Amino acid sequence: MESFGEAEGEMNDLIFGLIYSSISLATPILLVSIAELIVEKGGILNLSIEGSMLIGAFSSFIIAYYTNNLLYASIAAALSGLLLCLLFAFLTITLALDQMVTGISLNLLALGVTSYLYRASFGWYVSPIPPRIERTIATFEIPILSRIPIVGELIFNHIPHTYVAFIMVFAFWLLLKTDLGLKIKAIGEDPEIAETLGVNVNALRYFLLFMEGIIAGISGSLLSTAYYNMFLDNMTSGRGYVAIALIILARWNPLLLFPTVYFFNFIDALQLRIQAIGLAWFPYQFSLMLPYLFTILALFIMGRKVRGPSSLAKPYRRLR
Amino acid sequence: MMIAELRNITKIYPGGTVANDNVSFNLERGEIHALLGENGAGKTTLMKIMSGCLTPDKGSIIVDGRSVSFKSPMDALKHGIGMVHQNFTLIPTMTVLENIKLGLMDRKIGVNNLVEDVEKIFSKLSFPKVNLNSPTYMLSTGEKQKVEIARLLLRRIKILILDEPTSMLCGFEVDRFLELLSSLKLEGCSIVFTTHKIREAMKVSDRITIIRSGRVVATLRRENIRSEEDLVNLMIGGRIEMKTVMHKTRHDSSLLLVKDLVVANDQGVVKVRNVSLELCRGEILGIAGVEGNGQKELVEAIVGFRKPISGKIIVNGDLRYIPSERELGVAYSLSILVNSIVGSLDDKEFKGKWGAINMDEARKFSERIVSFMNINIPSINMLVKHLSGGNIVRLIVGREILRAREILIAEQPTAGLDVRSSYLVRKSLAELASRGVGVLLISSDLDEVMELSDRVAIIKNGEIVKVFNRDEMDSRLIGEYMLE
Amino acid sequence: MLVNYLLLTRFLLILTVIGSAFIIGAVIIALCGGNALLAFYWLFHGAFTPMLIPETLIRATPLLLISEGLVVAFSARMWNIGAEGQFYIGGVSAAIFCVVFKYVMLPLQPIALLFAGLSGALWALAPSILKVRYGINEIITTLMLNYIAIYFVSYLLQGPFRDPISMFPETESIPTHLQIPVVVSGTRLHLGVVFSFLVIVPIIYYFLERTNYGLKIKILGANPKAAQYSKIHSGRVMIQSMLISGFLAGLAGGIEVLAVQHKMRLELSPSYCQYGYTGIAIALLSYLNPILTAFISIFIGGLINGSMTMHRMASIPVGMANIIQSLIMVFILIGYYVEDKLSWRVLERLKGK
Repeated sequence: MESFGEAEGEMNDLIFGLIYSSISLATPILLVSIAELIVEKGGILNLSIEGSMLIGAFSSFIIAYYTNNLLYASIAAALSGLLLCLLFAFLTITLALDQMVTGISLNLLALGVTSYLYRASFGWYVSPIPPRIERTIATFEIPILSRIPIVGELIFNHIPHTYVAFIMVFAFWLLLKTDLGLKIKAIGEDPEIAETLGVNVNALRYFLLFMEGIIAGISGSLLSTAYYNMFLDNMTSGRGYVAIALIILARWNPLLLFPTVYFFNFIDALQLRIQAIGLAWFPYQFSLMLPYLFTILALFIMGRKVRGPSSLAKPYRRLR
Repeated sequence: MMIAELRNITKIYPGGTVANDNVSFNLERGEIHALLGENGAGKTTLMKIMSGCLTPDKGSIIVDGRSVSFKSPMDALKHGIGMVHQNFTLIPTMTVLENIKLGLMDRKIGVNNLVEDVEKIFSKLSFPKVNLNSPTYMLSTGEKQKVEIARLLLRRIKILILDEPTSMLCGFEVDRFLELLSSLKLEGCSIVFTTHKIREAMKVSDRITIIRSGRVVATLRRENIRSEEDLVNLMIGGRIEMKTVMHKTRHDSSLLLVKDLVVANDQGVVKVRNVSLELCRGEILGIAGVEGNGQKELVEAIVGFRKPISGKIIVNGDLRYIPSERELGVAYSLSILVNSIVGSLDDKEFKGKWGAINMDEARKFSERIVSFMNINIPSINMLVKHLSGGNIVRLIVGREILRAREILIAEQPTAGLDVRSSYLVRKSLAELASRGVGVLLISSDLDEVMELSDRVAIIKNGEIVKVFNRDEMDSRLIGEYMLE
Repeated sequence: MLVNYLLLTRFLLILTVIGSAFIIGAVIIALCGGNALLAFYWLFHGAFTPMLIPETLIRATPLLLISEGLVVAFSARMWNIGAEGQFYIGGVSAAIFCVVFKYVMLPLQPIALLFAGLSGALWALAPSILKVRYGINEIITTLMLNYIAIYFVSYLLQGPFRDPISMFPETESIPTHLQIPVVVSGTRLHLGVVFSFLVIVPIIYYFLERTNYGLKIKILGANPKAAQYSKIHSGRVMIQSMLISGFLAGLAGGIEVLAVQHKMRLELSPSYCQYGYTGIAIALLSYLNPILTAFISIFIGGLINGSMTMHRMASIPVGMANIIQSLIMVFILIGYYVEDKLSWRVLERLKGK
């Protein structure tokens, strides 16, 4: 029979774990969301971030497995995510193809290629014990701040990417207030007029997608080399699409990304805990459903008739 | 002394339209030069080439004696050439200040200095006070125009190009605008503006170049022009008997009744205030007014695109509509054949067995439109997106005129058409009326409105301020009502 | 004249796209140390040898139904990415229906299939309403519902409707009198194949290209503003096109369960080439033409079967089919661009005459 104190201690651990996971698991989504937010401000809807993340997850895993060097793994992730994003950029900017269809196609391509190459590397049948890497990205304790009781451990004891993500959101928020931010907003509202005013719409969009590719690749790598130490087919499970939904909920305002992303990840962390606890009457499949249901529900409640940048997802062709 | 020259400019659009055919044009230092021509003559294209928005297929541009080539409007701006487009280059959802900043990106100007400079220019040119932090969609046409001009002046341009600057102004505002041009000239600007209104060109220009069907017909000094009629002949190229068919008006039955209509636009601003009007069989009711006074929202409410806040609209018959926003009327990626029956999908004559479309009837009708409006195309299976702009307008206008049985709402029915097609359309509208069709004519071409309408309702600030009968019509009077 | 030129261009383009995808596939195989020529030999053998053609047609059937549905939805510019989920929901509905009515000795297959189709349509209802009424992007909502569907079906198969005998998560076997019969003895070629190719395809073609309603869908997809102008009830058409798409995907699931698998299992759609997503590629590759869709479905069906043979005989991972299909999707997009450019050229030539 547990003492009350012990039970209370378990509860605290539960809550603590929940909040900690919310913050740490949010990192990839936060990174991808802020990058995509800026790209969307510039008028492009890039659904293929899902694919970029997946490719990043795969390539970083492979490199980490064979070289045991996490830095190389991150670089591989960045490069591969970048590659897919540049392909997307070429198809949607230079060829001005439909952005939604292109995004979906590239995601399927990423899925096919990663699944295939994974099996080509480790054997045709996925063994019950999937290959794992030995070291994952370590958490980094911020020197003084992490000593603060409770709060210190919660907030200041994460992998460095978490801090970077947080800063990045602020940085991009500031960016939007500068001259460059003005240009980005302009090409997202009316690229033809922006072009007339001397902004090189296509070049700027390429630049934004370039940045996004690197960020998406690295955030994908966190899945396979930080939170888990393996790669699974379709590891990203729609997180890229969720990011897109979260941007809509945040009304394309970087600061509002914080509450939206963290709240979503709270739900995600919650469902993981529920699965771990293993409530007999609550099938684990319903836990798994929660994040997706939540996304739809949130869109229904708060995502109505929200107007994004006026020329979002519209193909743009220079008339010369 | 020439400050700029365009030599042997040729520009052909994809699809084959020859917009400029070996055009040569020059601008003298410190002059006001009017480029006069009908809609579709090639004026805008030429000016876009001069300002760097388009590159010519053949020909050269010379500025200050040196041959230049503009890869973008920015290049032209660096040479001191700036253009105010007909539809303005202001991003509606961004503020005035943001728009100005956007136009001055390559110069490092701090925000405070910018605000000061802008206000200085505004007062120097006696512009009204404009809130720099309001989004530009809230500004009136006149205000937008001034913001555009101010932005260019802040760059200290030497050559100012204006494309149809008075198309959305009228009477009083036009006069004020022309005075502005004169004062800009005194400041040392060389000015080119395009227009199809002879009177304005005559009022303020030093020289006038007439352009027709992509070619320069003549360049004349103002003092050498004897009368407006000479210009008319040069613009049109020969006399066309433009007699309208007189029709009898029958007032027996009301086709369209609007009562106390109140309509707001997307931003929630009330644009139609308690408008009441009635359209009867066999009459042409013209709505005259400066663009932006509620005509758009009025038509949208009547046609059913926009729900009015209050009031009644009673439509007593089959309604056909020529939209001023032509994109509404065609599906670009579908064929001419399919587009011919857009809007008629539920009509009996196109219905075949089991919910199918009677393709033979559709084909016949499609060919009828093509021959009626003289659309020159190889096949009706061609996709609409491959048609020239003029042909698309012909398709839409022809389709609606041929299908009009009881009510026709015609918004800018001749905009984008050449002279012959315009005449054909006007004749057809009159014919429709004589056959009993009620036509609601919304046009910014006052001559057209006066020529065709049995009654003219003048709309200002969303209200019908006066309705003129045919015998009462006087252009000056109408102009005054449109502005007071 | 003009039309012939354009059709020829399109045909050549499709060939180029498919060819390029195969070439890159071959390169990937070679890079991973395989023998590309051998691999492709087995691929085509597994797909199109006369003896195996019935199998190809069987494989093509769910692809066909799903793609035809997507052609309808895409023509209205409703991007239904949820075909996979609708397929599963349809399958599990048919299975549940048969399990419930297993003691009724009547040919209830049509009702079961109807039920499957309606369930699929229902699964597409929410995203379509959310899009029409609230402007919420249907790509995200349909995709989310895919995941929800898979998990939901997994729950049903491991919980309430689990086959008490089997150790796998699947339903009981469908009793023989409720299965869809085979029409060619000696093969597995079932009535569903015949029905899909000979009934559904002409219906969809006639519907989209020749009826009043079909034209409304196309006009809506081509220019939503023009649709409003021509008094088309955009909202209604958008929802209905999604429902049709969902219905067909659900129907596909039902047929697959009743005719091929004879039970509902978690892997109704092969994990290495999911029907719901492959259907998207097929619909796009066929330029939203219902007749062409049928041919391409057969082709892709063959591709999938062939890749299994290729796997057995030349040790190439089955995922190659997926890669080729994804490459086809990407290349067809480039093909759209090329076709657009070429059509201008063709036009200029004709104008010159």
